[in-house]
Amino acid sequence: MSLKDSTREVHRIIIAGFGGQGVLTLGRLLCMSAMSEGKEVTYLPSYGSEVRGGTANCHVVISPDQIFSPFVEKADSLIILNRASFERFRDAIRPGGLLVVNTSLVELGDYESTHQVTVLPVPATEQAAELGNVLVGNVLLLGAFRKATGICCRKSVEQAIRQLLTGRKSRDIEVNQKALERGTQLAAELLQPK
Amino acid sequence: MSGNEAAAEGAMRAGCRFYAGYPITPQNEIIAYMADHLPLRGGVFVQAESELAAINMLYGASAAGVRCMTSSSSPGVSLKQEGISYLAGSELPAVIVNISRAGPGLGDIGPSQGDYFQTTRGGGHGDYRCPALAPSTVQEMAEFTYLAFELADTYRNPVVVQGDGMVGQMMEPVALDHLRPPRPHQKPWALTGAAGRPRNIVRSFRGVKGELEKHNIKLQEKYDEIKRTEVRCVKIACEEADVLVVAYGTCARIAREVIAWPPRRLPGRVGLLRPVTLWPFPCRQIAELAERVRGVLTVEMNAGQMVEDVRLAVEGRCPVHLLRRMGGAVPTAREIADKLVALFG
Amino acid sequence: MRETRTVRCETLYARPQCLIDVPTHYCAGCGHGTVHRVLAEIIDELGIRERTIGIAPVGCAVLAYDYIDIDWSEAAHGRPPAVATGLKRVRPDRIVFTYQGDGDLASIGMAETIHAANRGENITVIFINNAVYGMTQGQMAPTTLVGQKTKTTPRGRDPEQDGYPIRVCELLSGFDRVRFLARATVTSAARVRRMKKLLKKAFRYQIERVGFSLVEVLSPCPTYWRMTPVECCEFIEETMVKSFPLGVIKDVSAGEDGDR
Repeated sequence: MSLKDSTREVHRIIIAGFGGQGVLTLGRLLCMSAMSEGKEVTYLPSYGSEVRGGTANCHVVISPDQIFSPFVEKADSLIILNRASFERFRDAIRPGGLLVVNTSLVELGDYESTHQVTVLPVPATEQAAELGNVLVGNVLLLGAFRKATGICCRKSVEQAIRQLLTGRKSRDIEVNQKALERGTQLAAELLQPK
Repeated sequence: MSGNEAAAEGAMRAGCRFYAGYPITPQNEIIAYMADHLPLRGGVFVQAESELAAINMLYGASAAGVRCMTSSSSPGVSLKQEGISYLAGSELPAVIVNISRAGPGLGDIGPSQGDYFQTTRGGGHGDYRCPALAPSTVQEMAEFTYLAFELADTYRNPVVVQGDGMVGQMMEPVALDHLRPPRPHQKPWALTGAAGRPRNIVRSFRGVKGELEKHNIKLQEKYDEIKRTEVRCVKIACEEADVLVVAYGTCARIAREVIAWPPRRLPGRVGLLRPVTLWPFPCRQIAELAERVRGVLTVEMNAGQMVEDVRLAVEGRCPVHLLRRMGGAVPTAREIADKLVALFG
Repeated sequence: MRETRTVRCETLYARPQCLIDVPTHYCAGCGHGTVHRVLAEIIDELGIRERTIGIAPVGCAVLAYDYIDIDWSEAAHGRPPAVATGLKRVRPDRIVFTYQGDGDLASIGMAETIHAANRGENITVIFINNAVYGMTQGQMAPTTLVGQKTKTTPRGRDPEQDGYPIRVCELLSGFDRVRFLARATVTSAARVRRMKKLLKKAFRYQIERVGFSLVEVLSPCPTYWRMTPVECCEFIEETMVKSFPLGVIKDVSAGEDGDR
């Protein structure tokens, strides 16, 4: 199954997890990276009562041309960080789309046999813990997603991380760059033809 | 940059030097941005004890001749109506940003266009109108807020920037360099102390018999001038259209998506008219198109408010239909397309 | 040649320069006229006419701007402290005062009063307390005395139902940024002189940027108290001062932290 050519077409992404997993940061990093490469982007965070219920999500659209609706009905890609989000968004993806999923917290069950979707299973929480900071699982997933889609250059993400993590947060730049690297590696291994 | 931040930035670039507000979701980024930036740029920020106090602080700052703004969301804007009526009655310029949410009552914080009537009919007591600009992108949040200050000073009238939670919360790239410091408006009426001139009085009260009617006639003449000169709308693919969609703000963005779809998925050629000014409403523009389309579909995130203005503009020239979502729900592009097919397919 | 003699005349009493020469709309025996005159005298004496901005209330004094020749703003009912906040914050070198009645200040505008006081806005509040709503024809005010009959307390104010009269000065005295609070009245020449002294001090504090000041004036309302002006003055002296004691309630000039 071939993935969409992300460099030339509009790419609609839903990112979802629970509050504190860095869902919105993931979305912002992705937008900042694509924006720095001259693409049009929209970033629409969930801000409704569901935030208080513990889940957070954002809709990201990246396009070479003007973007009209910032809402994503059927995603080209889903990035899923926890189980509740997986249940909620598992069908919000078009056939042939890409699911990047945190398998540390999500059991896929028979998903792959019932959905015509490329699945990239990344044990992000475990891998992040190995790097010494469980909070960088989001960037690890971003690394894997970027590698799988080629939606932007790795350099742009590295730069976005430095841009976003300022002041006291700047001490986390290094571990985030490591997470980006690890995500990239994992995706490369998973995507190798078996 | 988020839409809310863009509105705040646009305001400061327009020379806003006083902001007062009270926190309410989904517009808290405006008050935070103002608190952070305005004092560093020579302005005054006050977190007011209520929306009521905030709008009345604007009354004072505006009376002193300073560009000023407040922001809130629907329930808070309801509270501000008293002050907006006084501002209009006293002919004081001010900018009110409403990042509206779903009602009635406390409702919820999801995006909504349920304040259309309140915004376009004045909102508070008495005969008055406020020009209302409806942004549908983050870029427009900055530009329309900037423009709102110009309109407010030009007409000595409060101006509303009517957004919603979606356009306030979303982030997009924004270009700001063209929003240069504007030329200051002369305000000989401002309260600065009666030094070297006769004293000024800022008031809406007209107690002498006949004076209030004269004052109202003057206000209405001003509103007529605004109706003649300040109508703004955007037309997409309207020239060849068989069917016309009318939508503003968030709904217009989603409808715009549909217009770009291949014609085989739609009932013929579909055009979009997006009112930029909700008041004054683009009546003439809609009436002209109504002469030659099969029908009009109005898309709104409320029970059907703007559709009344559309019907008044169309005056029976063609059928007018409504697609509505309420309570924070947002219509999808597919819903709009399906409705178009069902009505005109 | 005839001898001429020069006689020196001294003006001992005249209309203050900034008091406009028109009849007021106030009822006979009302306290507003007296306070207006005193206010005009103070503005003249301090030489601040060209930089003073008044905020007129909704209530009997809604037309205060017709009588004192300075810049004025109207305000919605209860909102003068908010309007004054906006004005003073953008024009900190101007002298800004509000002129408010008991309904405006202590009922519908209590939130604005308390928060402007708590923020320590550098403004002067003139609070006319006549214990009744005059403009709307004599209903209960937040300062109506216990047992006092009004249109809405026809059997007298009952604390069980309506609470006790609110003592605004005492209420505000706890706020750290409130600098000057005083209560005066207009029942005699001596009382008026005392009121002027206190109000002038309040304005001086604003000029010196000391902070928030408020002067409450117990003021007669012959029309809705249903008394003659003289009876009103007796009522204030014998009854009203028991609920609202006269004097300086708080006086903290800049840099000090104790009462003086």
